Amino acid sequence: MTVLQRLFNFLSSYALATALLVLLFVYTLLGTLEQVEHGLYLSQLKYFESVVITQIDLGACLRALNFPTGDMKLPVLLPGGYTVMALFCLNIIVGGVIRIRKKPRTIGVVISHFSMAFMILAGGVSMHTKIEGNLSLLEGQTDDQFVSVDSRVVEIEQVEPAAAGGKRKVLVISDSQFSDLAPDGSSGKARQFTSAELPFDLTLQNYAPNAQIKRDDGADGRRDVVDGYFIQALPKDPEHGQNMPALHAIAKNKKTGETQQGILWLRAAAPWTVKMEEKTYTIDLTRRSWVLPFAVKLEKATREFHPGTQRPRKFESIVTKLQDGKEERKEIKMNEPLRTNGFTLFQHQMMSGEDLKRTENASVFQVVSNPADQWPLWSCIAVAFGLLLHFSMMLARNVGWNEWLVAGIVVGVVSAYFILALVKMY
Amino acid sequence: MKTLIIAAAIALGVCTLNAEPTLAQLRDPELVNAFATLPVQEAGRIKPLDTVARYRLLRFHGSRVVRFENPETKKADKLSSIEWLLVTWFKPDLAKSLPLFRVDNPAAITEIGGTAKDRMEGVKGKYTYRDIEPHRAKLMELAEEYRNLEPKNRTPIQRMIADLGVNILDYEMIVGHWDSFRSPFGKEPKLPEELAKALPPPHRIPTALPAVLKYVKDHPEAAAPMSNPWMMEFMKGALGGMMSGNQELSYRIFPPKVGATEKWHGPGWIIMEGLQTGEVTADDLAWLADYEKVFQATDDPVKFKAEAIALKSKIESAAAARNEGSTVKLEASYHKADYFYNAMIWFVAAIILLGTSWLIPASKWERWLTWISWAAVLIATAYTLTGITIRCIIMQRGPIATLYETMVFIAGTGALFGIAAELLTRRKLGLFIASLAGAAGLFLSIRFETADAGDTLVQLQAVLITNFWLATHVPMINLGYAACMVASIVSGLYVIVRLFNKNLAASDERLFLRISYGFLCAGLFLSLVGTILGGIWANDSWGRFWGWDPKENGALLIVLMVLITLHARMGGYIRDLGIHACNLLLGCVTVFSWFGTNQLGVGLHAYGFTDGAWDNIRSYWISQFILLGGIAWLKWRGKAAPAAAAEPSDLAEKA
Amino acid sequence: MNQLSLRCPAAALLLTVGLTSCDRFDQRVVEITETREVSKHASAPNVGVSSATRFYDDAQRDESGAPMNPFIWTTPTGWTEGQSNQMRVINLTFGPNNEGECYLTAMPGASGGVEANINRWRGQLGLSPLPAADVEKLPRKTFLGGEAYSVTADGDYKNVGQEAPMKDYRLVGLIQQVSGLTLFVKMTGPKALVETNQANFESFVNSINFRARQQ
Repeated sequence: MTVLQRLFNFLSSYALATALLVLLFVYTLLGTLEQVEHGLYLSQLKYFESVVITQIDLGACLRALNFPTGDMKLPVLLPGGYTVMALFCLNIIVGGVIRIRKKPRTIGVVISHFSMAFMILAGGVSMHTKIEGNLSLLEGQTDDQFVSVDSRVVEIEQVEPAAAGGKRKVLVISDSQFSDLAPDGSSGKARQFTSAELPFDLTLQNYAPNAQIKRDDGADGRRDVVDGYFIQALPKDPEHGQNMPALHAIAKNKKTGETQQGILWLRAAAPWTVKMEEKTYTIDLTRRSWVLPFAVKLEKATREFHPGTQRPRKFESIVTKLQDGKEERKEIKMNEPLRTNGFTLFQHQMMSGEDLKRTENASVFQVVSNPADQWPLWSCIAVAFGLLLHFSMMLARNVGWNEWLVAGIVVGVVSAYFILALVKMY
Repeated sequence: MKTLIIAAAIALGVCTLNAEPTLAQLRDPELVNAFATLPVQEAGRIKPLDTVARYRLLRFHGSRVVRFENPETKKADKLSSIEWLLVTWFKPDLAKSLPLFRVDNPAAITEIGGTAKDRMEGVKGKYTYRDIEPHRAKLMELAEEYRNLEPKNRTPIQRMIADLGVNILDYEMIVGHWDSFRSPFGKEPKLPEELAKALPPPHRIPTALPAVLKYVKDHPEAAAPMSNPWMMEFMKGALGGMMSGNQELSYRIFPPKVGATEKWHGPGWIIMEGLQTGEVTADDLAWLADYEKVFQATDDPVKFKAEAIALKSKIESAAAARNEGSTVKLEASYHKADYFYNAMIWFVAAIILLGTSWLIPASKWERWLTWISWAAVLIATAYTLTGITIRCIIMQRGPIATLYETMVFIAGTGALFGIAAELLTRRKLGLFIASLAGAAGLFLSIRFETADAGDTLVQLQAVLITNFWLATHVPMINLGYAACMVASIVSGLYVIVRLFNKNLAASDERLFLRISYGFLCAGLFLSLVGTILGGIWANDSWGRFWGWDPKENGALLIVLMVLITLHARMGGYIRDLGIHACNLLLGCVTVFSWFGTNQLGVGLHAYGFTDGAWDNIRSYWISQFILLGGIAWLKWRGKAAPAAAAEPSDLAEKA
Repeated sequence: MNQLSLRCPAAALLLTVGLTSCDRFDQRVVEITETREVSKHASAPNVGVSSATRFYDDAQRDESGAPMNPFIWTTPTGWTEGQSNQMRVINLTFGPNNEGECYLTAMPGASGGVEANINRWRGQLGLSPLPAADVEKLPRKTFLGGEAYSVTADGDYKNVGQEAPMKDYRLVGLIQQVSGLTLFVKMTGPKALVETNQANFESFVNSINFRARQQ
């Protein structure tokens, strides 16, 4: 047996399938339980999108099940959810589609294996390419920019002299490039960033994942005070989007070595201004944003409740889509998003003018761009079909009916159902 | 004594006090029916007054029937929910001495300074309002304190006291429901001179309300209840008219004109709204007058009945003009028929019959018992499905929207699954599974409804309305739960049978294995497709296919558990006993997914923390682990049947 | 949800390097490569904002470090100074039982606009709203270096949160939009009392200034 053959055998084995399924089961369970204390965002990163898993917080899991326990953290070294899922996908294709004995009877199994692999692939594609954010509008307001809930960036914009033709452009530093700069005990961490377009180099240091900015009263003799203020770290909020990170930034003139310091904070009312070499720049720690290929104007936002209650019955926004001088009226409702130009706009939240203390209502849309948007639907149809076919034929054999007759009936019924579904949808 | 009070009242000339109806008059079937089917708008839905009465009573009493000693006949007697409401409305004195408030732990009563009733006294921890009234101040103080604690951190006694406090406040409003009509300004009102001149006694709310509003407009300081005792009484009456401190449960029985607001008006609401806006419409005053007529007729049984029926038909036609209230009668009959309770009784009967038939195998009686149990299971299933269907008709939506509805649905479909298995195998095991699944599911639903004590027919949030994928996803997921629970039950039964019967025939071994394996496969299909459909719905609603939400993960856990079982079996890592062991674990996973995930307090499906839910979940887990211990013991004793004999014929697709 | 370490393998590598080297300072200089076009609907850049404003610490402090009132003013003789709060930056009372009230409120932005606010006041007195044209006809008064709309109205007064109106009240008010704020000065009380305090009101209004501008 060659090495390649052995590898093929291993990758297609039931042993691997069972082991990976058991790991997925354990991760799903732990990832669910840890959410109670660590929040969805962190549990998801740790168990489902990770390459390796190095620690399990058993105490948190037991407390989630209402068993009072103390602190119990188990150091482990396990393949992460991402690794397991990738291996599993490979295992399904090699074992369940390629190696499986192909005969009329196994057609259902092959179909369902193939579609499961396709679904895992869809998950991978959407994880790597999906962007999502919020677009908030007041009635009468127009915008084409949506902002991320979880992803933060440092943006640098030259404001004076202004860009020619009014086309503003900013330099972006992604949070993956600075979120590791959290001080480690007493020693801080820093990283320097540069660009040919800037007369200065920018050093970012001492990232605080959640912070407030405090005025320095001079009593403690702090060293990290900038312009009378310092970064006071706060405990992390399990809800990742609620955290207000801060950074200490230093701009150093490339020619003279002169430095200017500033504090960047997600909640800051305005960006930090740097004036150097007769130019003015704003530097800001902000939520990542994207621009849509069209603009959306909110015409009317309607919110209805079941009479006499606070239970919403209907959320509906009427918007105008503005693109290349063309205007189109569109409705966005709960469960009825607007799909256009590769983007999908969902009715996410709605605030009445009364709540906002203003005359207009406001609507928040969730904007998503995901190339794999509809893939799970097709794979679901296929997997349902495959399993139903296989299991009903199995039942037929066991009970002594004609399995091909049963298979025919199943194919008919399933097709009818999905035709009905598609007719209802479009 | 009573005549004295009436005489005094008449002498003072301050209020219109009329004689109370007797208990027998109040329980006149026609009168009771008129009130029971009175349309009410509550929690955003038009329902019969009977439904309101049922859930109020269930909350106070833990049961829908009040047992008491009838003072008129001096015999033990019982009141239905609507009769109890009528007694509370029209005979407050009697109502206050009914053993109404259920407090399970006597320590809760001693903590507020009361005397605990021995459970042996036949009242079973039920206290009258008069028992609690002297300790009201202490109760309110403690209840307020405990209500501010996190629900998770409350002890059972603290929870009881907190609940009792709220119940007493709500109860006082119900007792005082007609106070605005009885005496709008209290028993001995001291009205300001100008108002007194404008309002000569007897005081009637339809005339008093406009006069009060006019007076308050001229004398704004009069609106402060604390410094104006008569205003305090006036507002208290209005609160009684609303019958609940919870806005959503406020009593609304007057349909507004067609095209006007969707919100119905109620006697208390009209008064409160009047005080707030300074205005009252002629329509609303007319409604108050109609409502008053009923109260004024209470001393004449014939007239009382006539007025109640007249009010009802007036409300009905006003509602019908708005195209509302068409399902009120159906709902009243649905509650009366009590489908799920009856179904449970029949399921339990079937269990007993089947058990008996196994004790006397191969006799003439056995055949008879089998046929009777078939009939019982069919009747029970029919009851369950009828109940579910009627709920769908009333709400004009699919069968499952709440946790309660999942229990009923799973009981019904679990029974259907069992019947299907029986039709295929004809070994009575299917029937037994049907009755066990049905009885357990319905028992659970009844326990849950009692603990929750809120209307189970609820209006849906916007996101849960109208989506084709959602409409398919929810039943599928729940059918998946049902199939997995059935598979687990079969394996559990197998372990028990094996432990007690050393020489189980190979054909029986095969039967257990085949049925549980079949349901395992059905469970995989339903859970997998249901889960993916849920993702597709979520993608249409929120733009994310999968969000690692606890409830979603729970469904995924079920799918993974089944896949592990199937692949481990095909890989040869487990054999028949292993499949049964995995099925028992599958049951544990399903219970976690079904109930446990809602208790975590995070995610989109967290309906709030239910007291004691973890205890029940854990006891189930422990029972299954005991059975797993049984499997380990069987394995150790080498009692497992030769694997080849019971190998399901078509499992091995292995290359 | 995006996953940092996976979406950007370079960053993942960097992260590992950062963890293994215990240096305070990452030795390599990172080139900024990512850029973004700014939407034409985006708000104009906010340049040269002080740290105090950026970190919501505008309120100046007295010697003990407590925030100082952003306004300075002279309290008329016979009037009493009350505790200021978020809604009432300056909070004064007058009259035999302190039934007269006069306070300054500052709201960010347009706060619904002048017309809506004047009509909100009229509503508190049980008066019908003024049409936009009539609002424009209202007299103006110099206040903090600008022209403020001046309102005088009589009626039965019912303030926010109050249950019942008080009879025969007068409201004298100023509304002015300045420095990104909408400022309200509102005097209320029984009609006769307000009339006799009109001169005090004028002198109080004239004495108000921004603390920052003063220094």
